[in-house]
Amino acid sequence: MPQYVQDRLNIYDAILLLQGLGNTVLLCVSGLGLGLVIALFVGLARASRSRFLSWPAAMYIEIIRDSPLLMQLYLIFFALPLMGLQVPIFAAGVATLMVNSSAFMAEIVRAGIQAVGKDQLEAARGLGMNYAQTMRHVVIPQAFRVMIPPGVGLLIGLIKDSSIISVISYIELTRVGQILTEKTFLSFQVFGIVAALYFLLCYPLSKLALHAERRLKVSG
Amino acid sequence: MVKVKNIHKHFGKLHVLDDVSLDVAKGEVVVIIGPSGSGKSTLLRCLNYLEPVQSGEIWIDGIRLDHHRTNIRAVRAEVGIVFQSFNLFPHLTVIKNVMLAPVVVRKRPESEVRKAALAMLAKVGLQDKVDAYPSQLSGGQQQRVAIARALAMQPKLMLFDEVTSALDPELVREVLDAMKQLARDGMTMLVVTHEMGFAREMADRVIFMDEGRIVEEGAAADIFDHPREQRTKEFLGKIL
Repeated sequence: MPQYVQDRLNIYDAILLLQGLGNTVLLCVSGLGLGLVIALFVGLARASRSRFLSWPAAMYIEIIRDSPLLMQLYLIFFALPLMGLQVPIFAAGVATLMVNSSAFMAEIVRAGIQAVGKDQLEAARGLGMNYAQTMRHVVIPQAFRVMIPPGVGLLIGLIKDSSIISVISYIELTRVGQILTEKTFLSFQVFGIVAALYFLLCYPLSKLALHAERRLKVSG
Repeated sequence: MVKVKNIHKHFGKLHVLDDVSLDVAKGEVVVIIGPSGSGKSTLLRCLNYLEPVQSGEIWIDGIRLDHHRTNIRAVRAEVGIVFQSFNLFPHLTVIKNVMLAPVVVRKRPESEVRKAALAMLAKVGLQDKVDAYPSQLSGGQQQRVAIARALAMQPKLMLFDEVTSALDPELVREVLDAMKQLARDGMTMLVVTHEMGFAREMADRVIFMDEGRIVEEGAAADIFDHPREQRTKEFLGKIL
């Protein structure tokens, strides 16, 4: 009896691909969004003159930056349950992206903050502004401009690296690609489409960054 | 208004301020002159705690400047400072530069602050540059914005730290004119400058500093025309 092999992609496969795309977006928006928020605080701590803040921040950054993303995912998904903390698949994916991106982004935040001149701090202090007011109204808006190019580069890298989350069987874009090739053996078409969908996610981001950079430069 | 009692400051081994005492009355314009490295800018910066002193007392309008942060910020809000390099906020328009501190620090309503800021900018002759960014202005214009920004906090005392030293010669006058207007309006001012013309014309008192000490002080005419100290004579001989 001949084994049945589906030899073309059908509408259900297309829907599955779109679901995968949607899940990748969901994963990245949550993981990288949370990572960005954490990065802001870790970056501020790292740039702080107080050792009690800057040393723990530096340690956090180094440990995460210098270990593989895949190991971080394994630790969160496979090791935490051994310590009694069961992490659902989606949460594990989000947490991994969050932790990983926060460390890299924190370094970018630190560099951005330190790129703002001392004269700006003195001007703000001379006007009676406190630390939080100075950061919020003077330093961070200027640091933001410096942070855009490396920050967007990092985000694009991480969106693509989110494909690693497929190894814990979260049905994101790459996992969908694997499922469809196993079913149809149409590796060329399926992975071609998957790659193109990643491109569709990342390319507008590059464009947006260029646009933002140009717009902010005019007002500099 | 300002009372400085026996302050000392060291940068490492360097004794930048050596037992400096100084009183400035309300409405007085005091000009500090001296060679570079004499400590005159440092003295100015100590007055709003941009530099801490190691010993001695500084009182501004009845508030002691010490390590208490609330005191430091209270004093800074009352003391405007204008820097040599302008230090405007490059990401904000001229009007936003002027409005930022009154809104954020003083918590005054934005519409009211805006009105005051426009008046302040008109006073320094920049009413048509309100929505420009600092990078679109000349050095003289930027410095006048910096003066307006400091004035918007309605300070009781203004510090000027070599505010014309970074300017092209033809731009110096517009800044000095703004300062003269301010002096005539009765502002208490401490001015570190190399502009001897300004000192002669506007100063109620001139202080000559060298090597971290106040060497000589007196009326402008006395200091410039009849200096008593040898070091003052040498310095004036070099620059006049």
